[in-house]
Amino acid sequence: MKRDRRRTSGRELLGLVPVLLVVGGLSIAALVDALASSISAEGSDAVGLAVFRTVLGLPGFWASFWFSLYVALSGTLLATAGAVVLGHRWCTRPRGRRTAQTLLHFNLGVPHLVWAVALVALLSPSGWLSRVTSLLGLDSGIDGFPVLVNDPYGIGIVLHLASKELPFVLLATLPLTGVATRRSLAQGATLGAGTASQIRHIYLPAIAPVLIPATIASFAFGLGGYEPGAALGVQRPRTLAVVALEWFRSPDLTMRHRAFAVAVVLMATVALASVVLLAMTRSWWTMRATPHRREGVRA
Amino acid sequence: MQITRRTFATLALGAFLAACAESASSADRSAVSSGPVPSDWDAVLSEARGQTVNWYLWGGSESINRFVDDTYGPVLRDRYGITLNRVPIADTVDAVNQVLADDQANNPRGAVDLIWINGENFSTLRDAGLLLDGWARALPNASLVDWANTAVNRDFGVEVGDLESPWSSAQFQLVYDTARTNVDELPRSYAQLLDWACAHPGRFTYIAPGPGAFQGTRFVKGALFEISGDASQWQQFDQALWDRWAPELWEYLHGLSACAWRNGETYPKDEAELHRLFANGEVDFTITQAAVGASALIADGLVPTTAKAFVFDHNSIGDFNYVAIPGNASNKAAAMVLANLLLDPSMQAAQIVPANGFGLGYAIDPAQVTEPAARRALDEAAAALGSGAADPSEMAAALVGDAAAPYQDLVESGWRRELVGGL
Amino acid sequence: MLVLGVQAVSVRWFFPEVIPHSLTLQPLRSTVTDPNVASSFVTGLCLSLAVTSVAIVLAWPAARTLAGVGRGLGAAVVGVLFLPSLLPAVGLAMGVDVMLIRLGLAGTFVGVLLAHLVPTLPYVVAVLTAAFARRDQRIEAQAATLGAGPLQRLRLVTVPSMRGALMVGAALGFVVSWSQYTMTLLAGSGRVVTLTMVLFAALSGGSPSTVAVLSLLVALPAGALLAAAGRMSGDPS
Repeated sequence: MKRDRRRTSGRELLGLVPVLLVVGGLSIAALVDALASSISAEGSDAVGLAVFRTVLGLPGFWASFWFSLYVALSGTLLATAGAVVLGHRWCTRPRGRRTAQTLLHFNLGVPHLVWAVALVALLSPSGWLSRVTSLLGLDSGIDGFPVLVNDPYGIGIVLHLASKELPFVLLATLPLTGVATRRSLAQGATLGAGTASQIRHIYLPAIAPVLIPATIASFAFGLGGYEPGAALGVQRPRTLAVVALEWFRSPDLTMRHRAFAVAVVLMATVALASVVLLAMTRSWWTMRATPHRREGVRA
Repeated sequence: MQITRRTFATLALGAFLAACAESASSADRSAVSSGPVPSDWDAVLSEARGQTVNWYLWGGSESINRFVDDTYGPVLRDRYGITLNRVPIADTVDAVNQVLADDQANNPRGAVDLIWINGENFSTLRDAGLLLDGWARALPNASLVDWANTAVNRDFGVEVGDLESPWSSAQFQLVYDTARTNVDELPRSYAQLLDWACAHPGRFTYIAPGPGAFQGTRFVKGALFEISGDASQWQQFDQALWDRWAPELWEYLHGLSACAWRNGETYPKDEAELHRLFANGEVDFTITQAAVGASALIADGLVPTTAKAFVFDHNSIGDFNYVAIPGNASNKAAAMVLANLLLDPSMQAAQIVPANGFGLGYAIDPAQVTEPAARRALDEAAAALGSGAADPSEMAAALVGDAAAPYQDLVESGWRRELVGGL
Repeated sequence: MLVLGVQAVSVRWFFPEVIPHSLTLQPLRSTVTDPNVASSFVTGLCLSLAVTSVAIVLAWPAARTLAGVGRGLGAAVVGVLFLPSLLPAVGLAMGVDVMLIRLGLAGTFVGVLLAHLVPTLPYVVAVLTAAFARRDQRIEAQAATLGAGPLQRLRLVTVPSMRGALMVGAALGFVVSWSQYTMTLLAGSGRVVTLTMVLFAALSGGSPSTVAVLSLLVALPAGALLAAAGRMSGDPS
């Protein structure tokens, strides 16, 4: 209502140019580069899918792929679910919210690398938690403590992604949990809707415009982030991001084509996952009674 | 009040921006240099005065960083008027890529003046023709180096020629904790190690071979040497020889992994991770390359004070570390002065003293040093090796040279394929 | 994080000790006085401040326009801006690096600054756009009626009314830039060394105490800044 609906002048549109040039220019160039490099054959100008065939045919590629996909999906799912439950709770029972919010902001500021280091110090079999449990006689020392980081099931990476992306998703969706949303939730409660029903029919549709991009962004990081896999992963299988960076930095320049081929595979996976997610959540969009304005674009 | 506060803020901002400008431009600062000739050493010294030498070296060990800054920095500044700019890199490959990038960009004033380099990275730059030639053996202190020794004049089997000057030496050793393991029970060969590991399931592991983890590669090569029965045959590259022995190597390592930490499902990715496992009692051995054995690790607080190094009876791979000057270096004269300083007997003595935290061995042959003060310095250093060091005579008896460079990649990619079956 | 805090003031703190046998400031002192830590800290600080400033300057007009344009164009622009967040980080960093090499900017301060803008700008634009959309434009119109010129309006009306959003946007921009590892590693070619890079190098061979001190040096400023910004932006109700 405060926003006037006059036509945007050409001069104002000019203001968008530098931002689009830097962000769009560089990231689209990066995309094109990745594509171009991955379809040019090693050591020749011929264009083709030879590099993809090589990479996809390498022993262990699919193990790494499924492993990367699994940790990214699990981490994102946990983070998003946690963010939704916690965000809904904050709307209905705001007690302790301020402290929690400050803590989550703090967590958001901690770089991934440091968070991973902290997880190792806490959760490794000789880490602090294990020292406490063995002091208390809860297990038989190092051997008795479960392997939670650098483990073959990727528990460490999933924990990392979940704990680091939850604040991101939650804080991104907060601007959409204003008075209107809370009023709808209160009405729902009066009409007898349980927590699950409130979340499903009121809360999710309200935050969907930010929740969905934020979820995709955390999935993209889960799949393509280097730090978690490097610090918390195992040697078999390594995440594709770790492999891609190692190949990219190899002095053997033909490995760069392979690195870009992996990058393209990762990008395609994110794109596919986005399409699936959007299709799955279509009902939320149609359910939205009052379309929100762009207040919440800070995803 | 308002005005003074604003003035203060402006001044502070100005000072900060100046600091920023300094840090932003330091990456690009350099002077064009013609190629100095080390045979005219005085000319080199005068050209070097006032230059900044950009030394790219692995920055993962803060004790090495400190040693470099505190030992060479002041001497370069006070004696030669040279500023030392140590550029820490996570992996020597980064320096190689920098030189390649400068070359591709036709940048005659390259960013890298001196690299701490070895093996594969050396042969990459050597084959690309990007290293300065004809200087190393003409340095004044090069006369102290035993150039006739194949361990010196070949770097991973590659002819060193006049492209590299040695800095220090390293030898593969294992470290145990005297408080945990009895010295009589230590395995003294790869065969015994397998028995030991299976008698103590889950208590042994090694570093996954790969870029940035050459100690792991070296462990595997040592096994290859023992299994094939002759270390010297690996000095020359021979694909048929590799094909003959590789299956037995993988068979041995599979046997080892069945008894290893986490059943060999995963391996520590670098030195730091293995040290952490060892220090916290998850495994009973770690790996070091230092002349002072575990002493430097103890001083650094990485391992318990009761840690001590030991070697197998045979096939303990040792090598020399070198520095090289890229052909497009901006400050070649200063780089030569630094390379010469590294070989100075007093500096060589300083580098083996555990308290100094560097802990790698000599590059020079101490027997060639006759000057009395320098002799004394070397003798005192040798007497101060510390409780963590392995027996020097056992080390000398077990020492063998490293395999030719092409084996490096065969071992690393083969290990990844055979042992972890993945990318 | 607390475990790291204790780790930072102890040496040889090994299993099974739940609390260290002794506390010492030695690792803290030696790490902080390391000239490379100091210089990388300054480099990182300068870089992130520069990135933040440039991001604010570029984002300001864009956000102003975005807050006023129709839904279709707005969505398209937002889509482009958030493209980098939706790309896998490693792939994006590799592509940007190749681009910078082509531009001759790899390994320079400016190159890394550009690279950092890619993940940073979208957040700053988003925060400012939201604030512009919520802002009451009548005050500005009143100021104009009262004869205030464009610069005066900007200084006296627009900027003060956007103060909170500017602070939050700056904090967010700073933190995103400060935390970059892969991007700095590739775009900086080992020549632009920030504290995060020093931490990664220490991880491969440094003592646990040093790693802990460096981790805290990297994390505390960023965490505290965001926590403060979060408090400032306050409750959205």
